[in-house]
Amino acid sequence: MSGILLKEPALVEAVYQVAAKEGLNGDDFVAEAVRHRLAVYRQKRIWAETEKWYALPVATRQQYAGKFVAMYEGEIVDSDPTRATLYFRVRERFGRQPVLIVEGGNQPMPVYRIRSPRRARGNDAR
Amino acid sequence: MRAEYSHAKIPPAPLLDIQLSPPGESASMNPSPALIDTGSDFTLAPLSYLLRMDAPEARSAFLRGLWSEQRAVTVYLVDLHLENRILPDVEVVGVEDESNETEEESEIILGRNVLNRLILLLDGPSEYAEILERRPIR
Repeated sequence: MSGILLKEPALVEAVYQVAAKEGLNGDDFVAEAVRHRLAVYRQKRIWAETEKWYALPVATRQQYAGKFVAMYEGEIVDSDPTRATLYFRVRERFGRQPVLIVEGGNQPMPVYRIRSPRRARGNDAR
Repeated sequence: MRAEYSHAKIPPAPLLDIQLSPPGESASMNPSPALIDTGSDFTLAPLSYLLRMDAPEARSAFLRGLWSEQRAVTVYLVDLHLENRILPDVEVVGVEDESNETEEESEIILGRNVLNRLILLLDGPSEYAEILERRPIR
């Protein structure tokens, strides 16, 4: 796979300016920005898959109680009693594409509580 | 594995040096301090840390603080590397750390989804935390 060239001179200049202020070199700055953009894309995909999972009929979700379920583009593509086993199988089949891996059963989406008010800011993935 | 309490926090707090990696991979990043927080339902890690190691996303969930509204977050799958053992198949919530305002924001929080897999000794008077291999004999 070939590298990617940034062709807009104004953008290149802006990258170097901001990277210097942040104490980074231009390549590292761009890599970090791209990683963040890819993360936002993947988070949105995972959120969409999560919504589709919880929108399934309770009876369907209940069929997978005691198992972990993999969902891709709205379809249940695999399941396994062990999450790690499921993850490695999914990784083999789908590579780095975002695939939902969720516990089966009819429980609602979990709400985790933490004590630090600052850290609860999170990154709203919707 | 034994670690002194950190005096960067007041009162002093138990922190462990840990490493995270994508599932099944060796840990390539430097150890990071992780706060032992039994009051936290779940383990949190700075998003930038998870992205640098390319941790895979698993699912979405909601996160709520004591005085903050509920937020949608992404849960990532990792292996957690301690000094002499690995906890495989650990879920961590990625939290935004863009501003790096404080050291607290770049810290990993070990919540009960991890702590409940360990036998922990918190010796407050001696200010150290230790992960035990087996339960102490009474």
